[in-house]
Amino acid sequence: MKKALLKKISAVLLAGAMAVSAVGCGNSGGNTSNNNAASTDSGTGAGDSGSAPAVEGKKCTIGVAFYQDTGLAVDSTKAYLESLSDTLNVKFTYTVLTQTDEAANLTKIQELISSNVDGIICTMDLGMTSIIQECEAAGVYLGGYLCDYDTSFNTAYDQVFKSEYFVGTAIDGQSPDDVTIGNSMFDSLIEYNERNADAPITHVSMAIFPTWAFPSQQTGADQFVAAVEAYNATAETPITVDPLDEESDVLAFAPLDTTYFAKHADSQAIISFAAGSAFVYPTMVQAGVDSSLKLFTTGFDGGEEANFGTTGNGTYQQNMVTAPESITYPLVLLLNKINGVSFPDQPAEAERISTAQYVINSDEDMAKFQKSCFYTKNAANAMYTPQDVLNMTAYGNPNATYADLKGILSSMTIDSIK
Amino acid sequence: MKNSGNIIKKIILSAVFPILMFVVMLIITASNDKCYVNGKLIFLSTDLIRQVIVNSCMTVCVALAIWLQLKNGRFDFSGGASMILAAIIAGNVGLMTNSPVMALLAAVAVGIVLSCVTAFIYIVGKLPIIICTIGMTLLYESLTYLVFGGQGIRIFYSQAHTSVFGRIPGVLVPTALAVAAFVIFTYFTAAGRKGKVLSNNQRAGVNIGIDERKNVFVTYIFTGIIIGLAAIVYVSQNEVTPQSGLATSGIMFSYIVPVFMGTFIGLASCDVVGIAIAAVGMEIMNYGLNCLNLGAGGWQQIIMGVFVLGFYTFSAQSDKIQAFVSRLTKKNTTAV
Amino acid sequence: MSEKEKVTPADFLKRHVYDIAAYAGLIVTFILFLIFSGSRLSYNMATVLQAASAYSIIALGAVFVYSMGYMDVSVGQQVGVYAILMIMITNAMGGTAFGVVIGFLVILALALLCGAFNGAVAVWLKLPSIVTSLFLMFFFTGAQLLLMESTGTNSISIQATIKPADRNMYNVMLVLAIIVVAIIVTYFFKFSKLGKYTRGIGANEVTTAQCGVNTTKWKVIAYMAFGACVAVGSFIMLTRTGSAGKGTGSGYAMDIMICLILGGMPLSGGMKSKVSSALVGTFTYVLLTNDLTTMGVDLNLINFVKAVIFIAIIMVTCRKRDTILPR
Repeated sequence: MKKALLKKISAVLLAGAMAVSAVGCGNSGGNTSNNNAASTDSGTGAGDSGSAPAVEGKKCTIGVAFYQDTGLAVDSTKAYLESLSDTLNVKFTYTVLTQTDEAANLTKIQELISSNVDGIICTMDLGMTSIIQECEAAGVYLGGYLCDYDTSFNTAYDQVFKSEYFVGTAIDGQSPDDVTIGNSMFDSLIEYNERNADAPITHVSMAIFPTWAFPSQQTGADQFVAAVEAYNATAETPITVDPLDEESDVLAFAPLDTTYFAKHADSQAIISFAAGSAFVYPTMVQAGVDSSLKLFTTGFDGGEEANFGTTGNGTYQQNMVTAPESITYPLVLLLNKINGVSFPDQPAEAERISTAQYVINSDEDMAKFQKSCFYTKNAANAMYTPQDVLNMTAYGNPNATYADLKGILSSMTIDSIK
Repeated sequence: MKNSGNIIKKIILSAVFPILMFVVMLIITASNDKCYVNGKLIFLSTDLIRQVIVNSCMTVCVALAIWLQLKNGRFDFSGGASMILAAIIAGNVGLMTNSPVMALLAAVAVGIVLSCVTAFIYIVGKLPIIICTIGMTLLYESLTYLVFGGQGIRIFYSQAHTSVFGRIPGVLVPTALAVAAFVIFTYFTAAGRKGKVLSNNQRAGVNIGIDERKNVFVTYIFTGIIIGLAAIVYVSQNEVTPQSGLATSGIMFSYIVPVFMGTFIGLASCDVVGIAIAAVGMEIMNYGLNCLNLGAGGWQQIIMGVFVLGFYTFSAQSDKIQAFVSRLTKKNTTAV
Repeated sequence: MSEKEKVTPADFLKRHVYDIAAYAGLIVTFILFLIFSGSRLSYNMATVLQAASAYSIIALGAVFVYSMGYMDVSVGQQVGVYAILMIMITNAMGGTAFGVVIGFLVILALALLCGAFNGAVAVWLKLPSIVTSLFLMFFFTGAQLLLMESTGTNSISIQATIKPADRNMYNVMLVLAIIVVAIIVTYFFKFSKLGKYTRGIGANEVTTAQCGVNTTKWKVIAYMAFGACVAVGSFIMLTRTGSAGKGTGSGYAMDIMICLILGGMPLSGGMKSKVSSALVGTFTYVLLTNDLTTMGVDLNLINFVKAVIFIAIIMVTCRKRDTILPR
């Protein structure tokens, strides 16, 4: 009898506990952090610009769907967005998409829509046709960030880019038809050689991800080779580039980790168009070549500064990342749509816009970079204050234009860090 | 004299598997053009020894942790999650203190704590072990998002001075400790022997007065030590990111094949030796597949599947084989 | 009859504590769902329905397997491969309705074959059935990767219309699919030999065999019934996005297991297995995930809350009273 009673009580307690714990977490998890971040950071922001918002936008919620749970890019983006929350009158809510499962992503987006968002910023182009249909059905606008939407651009342009609910995307770097990364890698290499005229790098090898996943990397590699060839035509000390070896240079390092280094025994530096911090550097350490080879790469995951430039082993000679502030582009376009306004020069169809990147290729650059919002995850270091962002919207500033908004994406270089 | 002769014979019998695997892989790779870089057969490069030893050590640590519970009649799902969580904490501790030894100590401490929590919930909740450990797996995985800002640990393994326990010779230290912990528990503690009784006949064991709860707790403490040691090797070789959706069980599953194979091979000697030898054999196979560029992706999975099925099918007839082996040994002993 | 009258509320509670806990979970998640969906309630209902449709159909089929005390870890990869194959076959046949039918028949045949394999091969080779499903998992993981590599893209889309353009029609279709499968499964599980024998096998295989039941035959049939549900579930999942890739279906095997546990299904199988576990568990699981998102729970906390709730539920539903610790 006692036991039965105990069971009864525990069942009731459990039901209660479930409700309380779930609701409790909802309050403490989501809102307090929002408030804290917003009150501290937006305070500084508004102070900087020194004026109150001219027009207050509609109160709204924007969902952000990231491509991974954590990491510098995700955390700094969140910090930046939260700093804008008060001034823009926007509440941000977050979710994480999978990188390979369309149906799972659709569910995540549906859940965001269910939680009453007015707009969504999505960092992945997977299952996009069904996602945009959901948005159209629910009257929710969608923008892109850190993603070139290449699949949709090439296979579903009409459904996605022509949809009035898709506002456009800010790319993580260049769009496949606007590649400059090869030239920029070459520039970094030449800068290094000028700095180290006594021991220049004269022989390099490359690394890319498979073309079907990242078409622009192959283009970047071709561009790099072309730039080197043009340079060699007049240079005193020509540079040798090993041609891309299909087996070992298209990551990840097949057949064996060390095969890459065996095949490129004379190489002095690796030019990695693939994310080198995560994919190339660890393999170099395991193979024990991290002090004899230099690495020029895209990506910065945190910790690279310990072996950058003249620090530590000096393996890293270049890192390249996109500023989290580039999310301003889809954000402003979404806010315009939600507030029922648009720029006078707003194009009829949504666009995908290339973003300038932080190219870090010297100790000074690294010092600058370490003050950025990306590195510090602190919105006080962001390029734009909440007031700046409000001024970019069509309702916050009658003189704001689409061209200006697009322009900010090309200005996010290492020199623009405060 | 007779005894030592028997042991040697058993070890030789056990060693047949990796030797066979080596010969098979050598023949396959040598006859394949892909496996030559700069005119040299990559299968026979120094990488062979390095990779096989390093990977086998990792495998042995995890396999022992799985086997210790399995041997005592429990299929513990949460080992992988405990290992990942311990790895994340240990890696961060190691980075903060800049000391791999501190990381090792932290890993073992966390491993023990997590295992004890699992044991506590199992004992108090009286839950079926699989369901209980699935719950604990979900819990530990969720904690990977909450410790150290949910960042996991990355640069621990990519720095030469912190990742000593992931390379030769450092990797041998945690592995030796794990083997020692396993052997001490199984052969030199009362709990280990009582555990054997319990796994053979749980009810009878409890009826003759074995305190099962205490026994489970002690077993989990030793499992925790081994899991901690596995964690330090893992974090010294891999980036560890937060996990969810029972993904850690997948990480654990990837080391389970040597457990079963090892126990089968171990029939000819003892289970620790069996697991170690199975691990070496499997890693030789993996290395060979790597050389053939089949080490990752679709074909590796399919080959692995066929291999697992084939091996199980073979070992499922083990009663017959065992009888055959024991007949052979009997003949020999009577002859001597 | 007189015995029934004597049942006190306490006895009733004692006897049905598992069911009550499982249903309580469903009710609590549903109440939270009603509260937090706010103005988008009807939209969110469709969301839950769509997310739960494939899960519930596969979980319903899994009841046959789990009631025998077995499990299948290959179902996720099977779903992935079936979805990809269906797209490839349909597209190769010009995206016609005929292509869709042929595609479905092919995956149905494959699913039945895999069911037979799991059931029969395990018996013939004297293997635990988890091993054959482990083999299938490896095999299908490989097949999924190779199929996607052959397409040279990350994601492929079907060129035929497999989903009603009207959202409401689509939702009705999903509801009907779940109901039809549930009725069929309930019929076979409760009123036919299949259910009786699978529960028998779960309770005590030796005794069941000694009663003159050909356990091998019924194992094969049970696995094939599961296979049929996997094929239908894969198709339903495919209708949602019309596309598939390397990760399609990943995590399904574990999710299905969690759903069944939440619904009160004993993993050891046997007489207490119920069809309702599949539906109650699936909807509890999907609603819980949905609630946590609509409530705006911090991303990093969602898994933690889910885990705590899961442990709390199993502490009530799965607790054993024996003097020895359950295994």
